[in-house]
Amino acid sequence: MRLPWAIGTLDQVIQVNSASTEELSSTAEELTAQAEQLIDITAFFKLDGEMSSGAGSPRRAGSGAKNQVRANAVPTRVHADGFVLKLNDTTDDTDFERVA
Amino acid sequence: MSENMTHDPHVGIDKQITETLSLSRYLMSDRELNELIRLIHDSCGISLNSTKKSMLSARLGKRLRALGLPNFKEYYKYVQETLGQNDELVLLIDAVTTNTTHFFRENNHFDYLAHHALHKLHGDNDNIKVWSAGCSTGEEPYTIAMVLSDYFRHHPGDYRILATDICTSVLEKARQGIYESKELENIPPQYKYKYLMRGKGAQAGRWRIVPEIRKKVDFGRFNLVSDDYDIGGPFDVIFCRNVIIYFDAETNARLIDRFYRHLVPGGYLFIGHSETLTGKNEHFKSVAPTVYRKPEKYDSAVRRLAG
Repeated sequence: MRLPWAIGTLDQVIQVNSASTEELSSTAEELTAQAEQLIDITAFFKLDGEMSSGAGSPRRAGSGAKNQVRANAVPTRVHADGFVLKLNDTTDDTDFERVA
Repeated sequence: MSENMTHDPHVGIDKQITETLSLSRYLMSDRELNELIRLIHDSCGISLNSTKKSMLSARLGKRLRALGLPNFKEYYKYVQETLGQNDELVLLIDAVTTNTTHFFRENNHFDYLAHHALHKLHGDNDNIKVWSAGCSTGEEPYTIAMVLSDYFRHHPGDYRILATDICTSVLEKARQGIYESKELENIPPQYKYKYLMRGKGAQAGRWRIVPEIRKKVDFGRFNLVSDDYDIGGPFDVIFCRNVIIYFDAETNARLIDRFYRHLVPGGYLFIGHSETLTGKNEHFKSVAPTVYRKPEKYDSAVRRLAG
């Protein structure tokens, strides 16, 4: 009866590890989103030279930095505190077009 | 974290950074940890232990900050009150659930569905009903919908998908069906260009699931450990992947038994690649790795005669 016992133990270890893996992956996604927000925040300083033309608007500086980040394809915003919801609260498909 | 905060130059940058990073200013005592672990287990089945203290403290720290509460003791007290039970419990569960997913995750499941399961199911049932239990942000049910739509282009019949999750924030995203380009990298091109639309203008860089796929999927909040299983069915196929890893053995045995009862004879259950039904349910037949089938009526009759 040692083999079933060993397999049962193995299953338990796998379950614990799988849960941890998923949790870490979720944390990594959230960190990525947070990294992007941090870039937004600090862009206020970094892009100081561009501020004069932007009528002192930190929002513009922020989104400029975000676009830059997107172009470099580094962090992507993933769901963090319902952030995406507010941005994408569209009910119709006017901003989308079929490719095929 | 509010959108405004991110862009507001008048809020101290140190505060913005602290809040963005969810830096935990809160300490959790062992007693508070145990109380919260029990509360979480009783309300949604998620089974945590003391090794998850830092994770729990980080995830719930956001809730304390949002409510302006000074410590976990006050938070626990608040969740016990009527107001907290009504308003906060859902958000507490939102915060402690893990929602990792992507399109075509564990792709051999979808191969199996398209090339084996559907042919077996389709013979006596032209309408296929699928339940995606633990659908997260929608990638799984929309993947299933793409595979089924493709199948029913060549076969008569139709399908419907029920997609549920206990976490409310993921369901909003799921319902919208809007994803960043990077989230689509596992979708085969023939599906991507057929079943997603490219964003333009304000939505540039995002893609949205086409309406004919979206309307095939019904999203709703559902607690898998609740006593009320009035969700429709029976289903031909149930996907419940990377969910039972968060539950204890007793909860899982009960859950798998419910899945069994909510499947048609000959129906399929797909679980995550690291999961197993060994020791959890003796009725399901293993037909492929992590793919199980409820015996057909004929099978169970034969088994009864033989037994």
